[in-house]
Amino acid sequence: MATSPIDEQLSDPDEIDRFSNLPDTLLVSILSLLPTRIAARTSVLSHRFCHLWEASPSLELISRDLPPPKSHNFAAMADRALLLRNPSHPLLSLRLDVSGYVGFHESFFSSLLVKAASLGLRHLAIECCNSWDLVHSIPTIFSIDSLESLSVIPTLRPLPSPHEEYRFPSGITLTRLKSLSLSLIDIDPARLNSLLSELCSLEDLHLQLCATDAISISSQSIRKLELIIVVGYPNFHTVGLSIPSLQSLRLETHGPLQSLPRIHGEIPFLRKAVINLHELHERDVSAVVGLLNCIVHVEVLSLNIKESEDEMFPFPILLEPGKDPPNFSNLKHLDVTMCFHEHNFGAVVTLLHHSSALESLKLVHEIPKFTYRARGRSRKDWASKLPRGAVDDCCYAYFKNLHLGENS
Amino acid sequence: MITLTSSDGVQFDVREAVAKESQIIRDMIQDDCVITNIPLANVNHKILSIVLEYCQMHVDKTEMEVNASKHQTTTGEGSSSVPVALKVSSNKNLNDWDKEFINVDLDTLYDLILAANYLNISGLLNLTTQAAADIIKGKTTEEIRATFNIKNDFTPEEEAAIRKENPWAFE
Repeated sequence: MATSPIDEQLSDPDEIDRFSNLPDTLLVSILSLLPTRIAARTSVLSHRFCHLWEASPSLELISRDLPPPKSHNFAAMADRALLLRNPSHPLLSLRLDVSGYVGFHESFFSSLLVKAASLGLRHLAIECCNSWDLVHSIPTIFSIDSLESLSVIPTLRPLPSPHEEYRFPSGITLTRLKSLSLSLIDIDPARLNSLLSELCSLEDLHLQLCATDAISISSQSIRKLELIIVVGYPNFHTVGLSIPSLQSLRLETHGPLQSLPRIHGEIPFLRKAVINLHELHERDVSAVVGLLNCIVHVEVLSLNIKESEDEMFPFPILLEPGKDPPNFSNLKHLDVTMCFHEHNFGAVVTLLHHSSALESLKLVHEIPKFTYRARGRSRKDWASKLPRGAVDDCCYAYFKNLHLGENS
Repeated sequence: MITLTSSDGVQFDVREAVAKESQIIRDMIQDDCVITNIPLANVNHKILSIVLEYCQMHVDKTEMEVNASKHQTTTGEGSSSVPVALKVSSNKNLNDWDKEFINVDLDTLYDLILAANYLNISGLLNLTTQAAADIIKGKTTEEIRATFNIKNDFTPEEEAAIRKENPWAFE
């Protein structure tokens, strides 16, 4: 990174200190952009700065960067910055990163949340090691009625735990909550949906899900959904989406799933979909087709598909041979990254023939790591076989990153 | 067109959309729609020209996106979405442009913070305060004092007492 001229400036003792002369509100907004530990350090700069940091409307309490003993120092920092905070300074945003916290005390943690709630907190982000660290704090978190955004994400991927489950309190009144990020373990779909039904302003939902055999998500208000399905045992078998206002969907699978869940639902207003599926097997083809049929109204579609190392490779994964392909009548922008072996290339050409509104197309050929010879086709082969654009018979297809070699 | 007059009497003729990047000017125009000349008592011509460069760039970029989506609605069937790639790339360009734009000396940075605050241009205020915060990040207390010419008016005992009170902040 280039050094800015600011850093290179040498100080001149006669120069006036224009920084300290900035009004309090501006200095406080500058300090509010710093992690609390760094902001608190400014207290020794001069008398002018001694108490300014305490008024910052944003606290970032990060355990990872603290000197050892981390737990002791985190408690001291949280105590000083939050529990002892002057109630006349409202707190808008709180980030609690307890991922480096050894000897996590949930009662202390809850006391921080209660204090933050009393200060009118609007944005809360919690990072922890494991989902089940917070199991007992969930009722406290979900009773901060002033929240507009909430994110509870563990640094480790969620793993199913045999004993613990998020229990959302009944009668949640987070009516202002617009954005929610959650990582869930062993969630009972009924619990999740009763939670969603109470969050009447929720527009933006990010869920990392792990295991149980069926899940359904229903909400009247959600417009944007990110669903990350993480490996777990047993795997999902079905995912139902009943989200009539949904406009944008991102669906990802992480890690080897036993099989891709069947995704079904009515999402008529979906405009944009990003689908990243990894480690797919031949048996997953009907689930993939089901998913494509479910998002058939999209205007912008990005598909990133990786097949698993399977003795059947290459196999059809996008379309079921002999069956009608989905009709993407609104699709304008398509972006596909996959291995364009014989089956996949044929499937994409068929999809293009059923995408009458297409304006732009990007195909990226990716040779799987496990293949030792190129299974793609040469660029010339592709170009001649791709359907042409409706206007002036121009070829709208272009290729990028086309690797044709011994290995990827 | 709107004429903005700097504190030192220099006049700038700008499009209304550019001037309206400032919340206070937007409010003035809304209250009095025939207003054409706005004197700005707290911003000199040097800073005002930098501020207007920022506003011009951000208005142009936004208009480019709107035009792109309009173009789409006329060619396509009742859609108004901007191609994702275009949106991403223009955002990226704008971020790069912002980064280059804010690469200024400290005096100019203070003036821009004050001007953005006075004119209430939230994007510019975020950009400038973030730049100031970035200067503080990664510096020791001594380095921060030296960079900003902050005079340490604590006695060594007072300073030691504050450090002792919050050991978690000072390693």
